Amino acid sequence: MSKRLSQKPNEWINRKKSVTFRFEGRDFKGFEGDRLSTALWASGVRVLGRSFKYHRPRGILSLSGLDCNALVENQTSTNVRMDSTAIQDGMDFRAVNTWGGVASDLYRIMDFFSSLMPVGFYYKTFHRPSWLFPFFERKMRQVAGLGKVPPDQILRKTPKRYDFCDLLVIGAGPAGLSSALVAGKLGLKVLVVEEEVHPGGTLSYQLFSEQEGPGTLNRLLSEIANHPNIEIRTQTSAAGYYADHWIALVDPQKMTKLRARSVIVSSGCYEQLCVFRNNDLPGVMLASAAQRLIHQFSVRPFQKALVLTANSDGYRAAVDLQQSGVSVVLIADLRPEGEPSIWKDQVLRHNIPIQSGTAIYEAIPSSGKQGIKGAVLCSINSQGHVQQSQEQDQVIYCDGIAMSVGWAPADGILRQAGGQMVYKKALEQYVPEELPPGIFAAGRLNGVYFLSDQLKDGTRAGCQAAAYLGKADVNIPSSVDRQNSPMSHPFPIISHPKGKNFVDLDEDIQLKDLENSVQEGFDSMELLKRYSTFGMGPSQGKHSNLNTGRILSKLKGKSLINTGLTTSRPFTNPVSLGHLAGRIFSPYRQTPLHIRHKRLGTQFMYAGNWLRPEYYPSPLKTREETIHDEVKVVRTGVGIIDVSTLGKLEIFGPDAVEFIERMYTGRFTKLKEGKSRYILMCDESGVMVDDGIAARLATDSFYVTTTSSASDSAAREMNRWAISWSLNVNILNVTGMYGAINLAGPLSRKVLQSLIDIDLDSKNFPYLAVRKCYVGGAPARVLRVGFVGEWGYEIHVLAESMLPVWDQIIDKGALHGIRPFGVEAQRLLRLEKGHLIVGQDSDGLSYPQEAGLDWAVKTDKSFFIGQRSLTILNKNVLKRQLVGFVLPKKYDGPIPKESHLVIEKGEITGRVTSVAFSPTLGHIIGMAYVETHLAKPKTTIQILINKGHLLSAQVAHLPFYDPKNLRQSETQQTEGAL
Amino acid sequence: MKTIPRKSPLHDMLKEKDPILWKEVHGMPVVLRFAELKVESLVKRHLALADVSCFPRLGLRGIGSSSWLTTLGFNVPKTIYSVAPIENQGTLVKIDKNEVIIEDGLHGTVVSRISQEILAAPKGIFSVVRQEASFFLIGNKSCKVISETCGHDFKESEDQVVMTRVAGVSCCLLPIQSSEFQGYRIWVDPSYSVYLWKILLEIVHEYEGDMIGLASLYPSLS
Repeated sequence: MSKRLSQKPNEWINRKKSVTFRFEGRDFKGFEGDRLSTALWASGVRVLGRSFKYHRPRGILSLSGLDCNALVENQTSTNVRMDSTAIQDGMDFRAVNTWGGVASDLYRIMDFFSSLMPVGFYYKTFHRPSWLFPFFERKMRQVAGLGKVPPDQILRKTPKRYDFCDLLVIGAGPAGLSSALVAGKLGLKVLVVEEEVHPGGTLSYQLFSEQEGPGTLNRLLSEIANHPNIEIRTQTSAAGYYADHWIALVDPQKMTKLRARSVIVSSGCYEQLCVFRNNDLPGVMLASAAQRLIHQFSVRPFQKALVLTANSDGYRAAVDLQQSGVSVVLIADLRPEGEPSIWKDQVLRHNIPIQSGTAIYEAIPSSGKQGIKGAVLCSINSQGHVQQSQEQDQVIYCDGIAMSVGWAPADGILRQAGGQMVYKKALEQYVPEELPPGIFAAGRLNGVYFLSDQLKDGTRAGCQAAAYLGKADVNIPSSVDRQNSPMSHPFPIISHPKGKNFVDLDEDIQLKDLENSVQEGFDSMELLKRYSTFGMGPSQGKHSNLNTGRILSKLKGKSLINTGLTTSRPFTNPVSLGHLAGRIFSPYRQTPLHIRHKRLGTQFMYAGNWLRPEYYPSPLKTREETIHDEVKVVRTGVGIIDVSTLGKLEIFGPDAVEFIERMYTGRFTKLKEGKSRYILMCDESGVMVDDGIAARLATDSFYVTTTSSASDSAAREMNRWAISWSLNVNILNVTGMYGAINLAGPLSRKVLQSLIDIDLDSKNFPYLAVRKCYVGGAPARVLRVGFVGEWGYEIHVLAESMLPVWDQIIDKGALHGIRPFGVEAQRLLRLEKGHLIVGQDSDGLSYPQEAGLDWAVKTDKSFFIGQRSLTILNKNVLKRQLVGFVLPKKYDGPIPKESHLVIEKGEITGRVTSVAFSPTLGHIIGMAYVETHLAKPKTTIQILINKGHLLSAQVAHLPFYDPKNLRQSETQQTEGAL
Repeated sequence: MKTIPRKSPLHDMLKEKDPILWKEVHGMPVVLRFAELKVESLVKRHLALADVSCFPRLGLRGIGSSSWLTTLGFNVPKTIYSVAPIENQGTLVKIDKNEVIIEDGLHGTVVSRISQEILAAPKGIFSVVRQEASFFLIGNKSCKVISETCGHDFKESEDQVVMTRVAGVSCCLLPIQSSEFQGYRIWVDPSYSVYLWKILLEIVHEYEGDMIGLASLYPSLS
């Protein structure tokens, strides 16, 4: 049977457009603008969802996006809120987490067994025997909870936007709109966000009470529409506040990161529920929800209604209901003294009976608890205590209960911004007490309820924001007096021996759950929240925080002021993971040679955020075989590797030498122009943080390399120190501006000589020399290096010229069997040579002496970063050392892995940092930190490999390969080349 | 010694898009057109991305660099992040108290001239390598693309370059409001250029824009 009312002047539905959709396998019709909840309610469907824990039927509660027991899912989405989702043609949804459908959910048996599942039962049961816990965990997850994430979800790229405004107004109710208007007129660029589809706030549903409401709303909207400075965004919620007025705005399509110069929070209040037995069943709803149904969606909420109230809003709602054709059988007013205002007379004029000092003891369920058929009333005194026994209670027959017993401020954003809320007993509401600079509050949130007062309060806030932003001659009106009589009942909570009087509907938390939790010692708001899980459901306690505070304060004998609130954190409303993920920005870097690697079919890997060739696959060969082949080419012929990822810094200026002396551990004053030197950087505690090469290009100019991942951090640190030391030095990070290649192997000189304009004879260009020259027609900086343990050259050219230089070297090298090699081969080559990689063979505590790099540290210099720490450390007994180790040639078991532990007598004494099979030496080699007494060559160490197996290895001298560095000598080079 | 052609960091990626016309500009092969001029003209007005990495540029750093340039006849702005035009549609940007970037226009020769003259510059003035990739993001919808990728409020920095992040990458941006087009000039480290181009182009496509060649920006080339 349709519950649709006749057309209303400001209804949100478009009756000209009918919409067909499916729910739980049945076809339904509604109008464009209907929510899933309203269209179904209009079609006579009462059970919209099932509760989280006990699977009790649930219907409409607030109709404001907070009905978190009415969630649906389909093939692509889950946990979709029915009260905030507009219907569309072809929609096909089912309720989440049911077994056999929402109407006859077989999981409802949980309700029958609810006494066996008190709060926290899962903390105390199912963990013995421990092997059964996974089984129970799976079962609990299956029965409780919300929807399931569809596994075949299509990746949705939800954009994020940045936006800016002078003033953000949160909430487009009367206070928000009036504040926006005055601020816009004062010259501010104003953005108003409203989470509903239409602006207006209470003016769109509390119509009877505010006869001038529609006219006021139309006037405000008309003025705003004509004002170029003001923009209203509907269906947009302010979901989180971050430092410096940075607010996350969420709309159906995207998240906007808004930077506002000031903020007015006029987000109103959440109507609160009354706690009584069966207060959760379909048909029991907030009075504001009933009014929304009537005025926004033209749906009759009930046939016969009982209104439970403790303020004038309930009286207004009663008249709204009566005027919509609902028979209001009684207003039960919790207050013994009743309603003092003129609304009482209005109600009496509509022949609605009133009974003061009356509460609902319990709602009487209809068949299958799919609705209600009446309510049992009881008398309460001024303290809220039930006065009569159950036998004497009065029964009222009705199919709906509208509750209006109080309001809680929608203060999430305000509190996240650092606003202090204080409980005003006179108002029985939290109101803002102290607000941070640039943040203002207005309207109901501020304790101002009547329309004329809200308009004034909004104007005051708008003027204050304009003055805060420096608008001159702003006349700020005086503050509006807050409501002088409470709009909320101090304790709308009725105890019942049979329970099912819910405080938190999201999580099925009953009054006795909270009482038991407090009895068990969880007696502060934060502890109580975590133990009982109140406020941890999708609506984040918007209907339960205040009542829980009241219960706790009563149990503890404290005032609500002293009980406090839980901490408000982003997000104030549920935000989909898709919105949070947004478009994926994962910057990666490519070298100028990327295309060449790609064409060679390279296996790429990430080194920091660089894409680097791991190895160049060969047909019919395994990864290991290919890497070993690459190593062999470098040892016996010539190989080429792209090292453009090396950090590259130019350091120049009159104080360049002094600066480098301070930054690095070595000595550079006497380093000649045209020469380079190994450099090691430590932090203040002496820990190694980076290494590389410093090449002196001129008296006052150095070209410095860093590890690939450290270029940005090293440059940043250097600039910081340069400023701190007031040195006249320039530091430029030119990492991306230059490409670099390493040409290595005994034939490297032959290949390069044909492309370079200088003589590569070792007398003219010795080991560690650097030259500015031309390679293949491109200006270049060439360094003679030996990182991989062979005769080699590092060739640095401008990024725009790198590709032709590589092509020419490959071309010329073809005659000599040149082959590109990747990062894995390079790591193996340097391991054979015993060269460590800072970051891999060092950790957050490694200092040079441990790593055998004390030769690179000149502690007798006047100063360098970390000098003081290293001087102290070097005086201490060395506790661990980086050593080389080898496995026997005949060993053919699994290769240990990096970070495998070194064990001695059952204790951890070190760890492996690098390890690999050396194709050059024919056995497994590695480096490991070990305790000093194990560091002597030929000592046997035990490495813990998979499944607790200990593997014996022998400590060996470093380097493993070419210990006398003969590969850099002219004699060997000539022989090798031959 | 022979000279070798310069290459845009986007060269190979753009080549894969089968442009219909190439030309060498400032020693670098550049795409003149991806589509017919008429089509590109429409795209340019709506939303377009173009690679303009070909323009040579050079940095000057050191105390006295601004005054030295002034003696050479350049109008060096006093304020940091301000921009001044140089001959042949080139640009001079003051990016620090003692640092400027000079970028040649289509037919400019300033960079090569300064590269020679700096050899005789007073001590303490150094040339700085500038190999950035450079894009034009232009058209009526260009601000939409920027609002999805960049957290800077450009209303606060009209006619100035901005050091900021676009799609997570450090960039230098210059808002453009000319009679010919509006949008942004972007300079980015070449190693990030492929990533940034792909991200921007993806968003440009979502707003029904596309990439265009240099001839659409400089009709004299076509």
